[in-house]
Amino acid sequence: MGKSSKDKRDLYYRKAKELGYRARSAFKLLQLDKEFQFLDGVTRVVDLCAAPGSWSQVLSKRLFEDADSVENSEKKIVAVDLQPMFPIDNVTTLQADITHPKTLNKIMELFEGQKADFVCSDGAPDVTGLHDLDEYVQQQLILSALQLTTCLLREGGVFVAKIFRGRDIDMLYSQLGFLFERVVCAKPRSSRGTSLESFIVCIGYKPPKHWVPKLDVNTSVETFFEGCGIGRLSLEDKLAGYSEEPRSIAEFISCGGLDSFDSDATYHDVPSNKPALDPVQPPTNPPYKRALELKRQGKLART
Amino acid sequence: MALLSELSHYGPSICVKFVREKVLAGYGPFVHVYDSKNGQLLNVVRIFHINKVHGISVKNETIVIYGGKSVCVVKLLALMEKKDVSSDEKRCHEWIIDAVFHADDKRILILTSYNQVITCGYDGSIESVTGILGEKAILYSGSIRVLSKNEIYVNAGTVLEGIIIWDLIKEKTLLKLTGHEGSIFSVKTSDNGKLIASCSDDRSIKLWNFEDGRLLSTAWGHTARIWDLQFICDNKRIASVSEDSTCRIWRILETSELVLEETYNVHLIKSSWGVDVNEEKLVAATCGNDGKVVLTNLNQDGTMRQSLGSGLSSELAVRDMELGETEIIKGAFWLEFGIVVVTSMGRILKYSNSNSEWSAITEEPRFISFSVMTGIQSQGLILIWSSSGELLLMRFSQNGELIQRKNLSIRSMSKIMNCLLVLSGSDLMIAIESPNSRDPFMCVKLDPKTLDKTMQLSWPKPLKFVSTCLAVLDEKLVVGSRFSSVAVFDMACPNNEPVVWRNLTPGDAISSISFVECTSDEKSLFSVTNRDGFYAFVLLDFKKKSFSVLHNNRVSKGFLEGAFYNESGDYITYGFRSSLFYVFNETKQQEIATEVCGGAHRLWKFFPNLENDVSIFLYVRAKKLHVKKFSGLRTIVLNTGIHGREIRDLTLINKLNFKGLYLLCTGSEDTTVKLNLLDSKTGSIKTVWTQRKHTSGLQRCKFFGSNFMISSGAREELFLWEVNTSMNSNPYIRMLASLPTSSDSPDLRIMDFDFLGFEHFNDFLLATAYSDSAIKVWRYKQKCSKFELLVSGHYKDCCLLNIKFTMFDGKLHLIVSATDGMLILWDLNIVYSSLYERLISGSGAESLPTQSLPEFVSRISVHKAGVRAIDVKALSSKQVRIFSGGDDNALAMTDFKIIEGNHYACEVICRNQSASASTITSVGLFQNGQTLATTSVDQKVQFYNVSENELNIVGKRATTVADTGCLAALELEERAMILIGGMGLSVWNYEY
Repeated sequence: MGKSSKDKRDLYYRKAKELGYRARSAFKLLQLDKEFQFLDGVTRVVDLCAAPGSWSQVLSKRLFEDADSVENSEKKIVAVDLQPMFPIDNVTTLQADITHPKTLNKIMELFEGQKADFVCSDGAPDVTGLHDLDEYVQQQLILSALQLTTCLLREGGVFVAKIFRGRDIDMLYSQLGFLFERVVCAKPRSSRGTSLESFIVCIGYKPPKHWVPKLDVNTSVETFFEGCGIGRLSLEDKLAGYSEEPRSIAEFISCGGLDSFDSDATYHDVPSNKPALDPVQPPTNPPYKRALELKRQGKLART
Repeated sequence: MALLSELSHYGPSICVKFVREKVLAGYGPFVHVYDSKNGQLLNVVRIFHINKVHGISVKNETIVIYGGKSVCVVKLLALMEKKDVSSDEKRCHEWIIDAVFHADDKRILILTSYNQVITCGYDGSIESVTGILGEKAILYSGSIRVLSKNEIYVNAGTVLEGIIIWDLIKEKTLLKLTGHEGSIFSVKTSDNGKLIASCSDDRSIKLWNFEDGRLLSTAWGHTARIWDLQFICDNKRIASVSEDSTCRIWRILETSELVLEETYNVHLIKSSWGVDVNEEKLVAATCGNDGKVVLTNLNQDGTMRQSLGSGLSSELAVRDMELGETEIIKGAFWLEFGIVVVTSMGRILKYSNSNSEWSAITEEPRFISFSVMTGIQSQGLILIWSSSGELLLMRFSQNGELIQRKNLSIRSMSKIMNCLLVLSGSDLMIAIESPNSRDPFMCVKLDPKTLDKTMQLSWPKPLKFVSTCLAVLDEKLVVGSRFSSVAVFDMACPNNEPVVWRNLTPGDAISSISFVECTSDEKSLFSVTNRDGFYAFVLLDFKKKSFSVLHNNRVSKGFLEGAFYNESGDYITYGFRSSLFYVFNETKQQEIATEVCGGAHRLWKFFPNLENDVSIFLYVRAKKLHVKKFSGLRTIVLNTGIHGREIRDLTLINKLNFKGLYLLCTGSEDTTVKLNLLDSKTGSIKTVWTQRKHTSGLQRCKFFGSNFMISSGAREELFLWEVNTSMNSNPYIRMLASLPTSSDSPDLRIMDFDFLGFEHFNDFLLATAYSDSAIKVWRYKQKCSKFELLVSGHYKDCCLLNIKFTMFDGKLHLIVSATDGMLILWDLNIVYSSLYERLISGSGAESLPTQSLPEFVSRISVHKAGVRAIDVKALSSKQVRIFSGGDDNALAMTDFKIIEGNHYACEVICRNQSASASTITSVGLFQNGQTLATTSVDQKVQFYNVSENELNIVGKRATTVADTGCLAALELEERAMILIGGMGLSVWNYEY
């Protein structure tokens, strides 16, 4: 979240800066929680793909609302990301790969062997513009998060993740339906209507009996879920012919209230002469930083 | 269910592959087969049920095609002859990154996104699955290089951990290359197994030594992500394609340094996805997000073969022209035999192509220091003139002999500023202008054979007039000028004052003017270009001394020096852009040629459309004369594609057609509006014009009335366009009026609009709905081409999504949908009736005061989130039905009605909460309102039978168009054409 002129238009963007959130996506979790109250009474929470950390900030505020509560010593928030994160109060940050068993062990250590009540992931890959590939990579990210989740979520726990409602989203709904009591597609008001982004809220974790999830660096996501019967394609002795995979449509809920700020609307009440706020956390170094420098120096001109 | 069939599809093409002289291109689940020799589309064949084709590998007559989790092995003959081979589709458990043939021609190797290789037979029987322990990293890219039976290397480009090169046979990691930042998008090993080339998010290309993994060099040049690259020219060059929509050729020096050799602007706006090079012909095929498939001749100058020579030289050899120390070239002209040049020393020289030699023709002291040269190619004629009024005409034979010369002296003018030479029918004319406003504007007619003066005419020079270009038609001199003016001098009536038309286009100097066609009522259509980048088609009526602009537009960037229709009817523009001279096919939106000449400020001449599809560009740079020969064959467009980004709306109506083809307008996120022609039999779409008026992504475009179109977008942009289909050359479209804006907020979008005409009057009502919840109603005053604000107000502060006028209970109402899930109804009859009364009473010219929007009369909550799309059907004079689709996946039918005592009642008649798996983005009634079509972002199109209380699904089909956002139905006899827009465009046939 940089210091751009964009914040003069986007109300959530500006509000996030005013309230000290590292990204406007903080409001998405706030609005989801307002609807589902899934953070009521939770003790152990894991935030996956957490950088820059706005969801962890919300979790921290929400779990430690009452600073004097005796239960506070029990509460634990773990934020995991491959990228480094600036520290957040009451949050243990782990720079680690969510697909690696070591990460699971580390979290279980922090939880002293007890399982988590709530796991969330607001992660998204960089999009290429190839819709099918982008959607596949996003689903792999969700499944990677789900792998870890099945290893550390208690029965009845909640899993929340960002999804893109694209071509094969109904296949994901169908798969998640095997693992949770209730699967809802929720769209917070702070998420733009024009974007495909939504959140999958999976309530009441119910792993299949006799299925023991086991993370292994050398097994693929597919192999991991083999035997839990969520209807994914597996590799046999011959490549399969074409068949329709099971699909289902999840219940849709709009949250944040239809009267709250509309992220699609244009608001005029931010005075244009109001100075841009400094970003709460400076933007990270993009991989194309060197290319930008060369461009600025006029070194990327045509032959 | 009615019979549904897909007629055509336009959209991104992700991969392209040469099979000898055939070109295979992936289009969604289809493969197109083209003949690269003549550019013909030979066949379209379905490969997969739903998945898109991402890659193609070839070995002799066998082809392996993959995309998503699907793979298909097929014979070339089947791709040439069959329409559908999807029964052979095989499915892998993971995303396929690459699929190639094994060395033995019996098996294929499939690389998955989890860095595993599946070895299987053509029938899909799996022999082995190979991976490297601990290297399961997810891949964005990768390739398998089969050097021999025992040497098979996997090049894996990971998302986070750089490049892993591993040996498939030994099952062992060979190299880990970690120099890039960000995801790797392509990595290839050269076919001699010596080099590795890679590209990534960091926008660089890196060359590595296969032996030891040493980084040999890094090259920069692309301005966005690089998607694909390939070794070419015996591993001495690399071709790359990028998100910056260019294809670039890099030379590998002996030192292993990479040097950028050529940049080809092959695609529009965003992303050139794939490249393949025919090594024998040195032709590159590229494909892009815009759906274009383009062939580029890399060896135009024949220098590509001399791979270590001087590189791609742009000049023909123009040697040994000896100029004195202070002598410079003042004029140059290209004739059939070669070049004629005049210098500042008054020397006239010629260059002959046949012996590549310069020779002096004459020395003329009167042309010392100042002279200008022009000529007429077809006549072998050169004109040199000086400011003192000395004119010299010279004629050359085809082999370069000077066969005629003629001197002319103009004494009646104090000084000469411009001489324009033109041949019209049997007349040769020179228009002569002085900088002195008291001097006349003069025209000398010559006999084209003898070059004798036959007539001399003069007119008083118009005010604010500086001639720049000339066309002659039927005794009329049509002269372009600065101040965007055109003057007509009638040679038949030399006593008549010239007619001057001002402000034909925006900008200053008219840079070219050329005749296009005559109408039956004796009007003449001219193509006019303005140096500042604008062009127009102007219909001149010499009799009535009036003109009308039929078409106006601007080029995408740079200066415009001229334009013409080529033999295929494509409009070709040329001019300068930064340091380049460009030639651009405006119809196909394709750069044809460029030359780095240093920019516009120099002596130059362009000779387009010579024999054999050749054009010549002469220019002087650093005192030297350069000659660039463009072959029309440098660039061949196999598929023109459509927009470079998402189509946001499309519109077509029955009554608007041109030579039997329907006019189709498409508005896109790429900020352009395209006017296309649709063939209702084949579904083929040909773009005629790409209008660049909007500065932001489009929201809506709709045809209105007999020949109007309206488009809207962000920055409160709304334009009224007029379409003309009465010409023979093309349909034309011009911007007629724009809507006044209220703020400078770049985010304020006009989300939707509707219009309502009045019988017998040209004025109409326009309603606009904004992203800041504003609702406005305007009157369009045809007389002054202006919009007048009648009603203004806000609903709440949420974004509005749709707006529709409806006559209901005999009164004008407005239906609006918003992101709060509501349908809202306003009674606006007072506005309507007061305006109508004025029009009837003949006091329509007066302005009406702006009223504030009244309170809405009724509203109902129908959706749990934004109401994305609505369509409206009047059930009776007192009941109106709204079909709506929402962000909440729901489809609903809602009635508003008037009950006793002028009360409004509303009711949701039916609602299917899970009508689709994702946002419903458009709904449209057709077949007299009996059938409703919907599109949703999960790439589904559904058809419903509309009954009194229900919507019954009668059909559901997947569409290839991603980001599915809009639809239109064209009702024909016994059938409808359904057009689906988004990231691409599909045309379906729906038989009743």
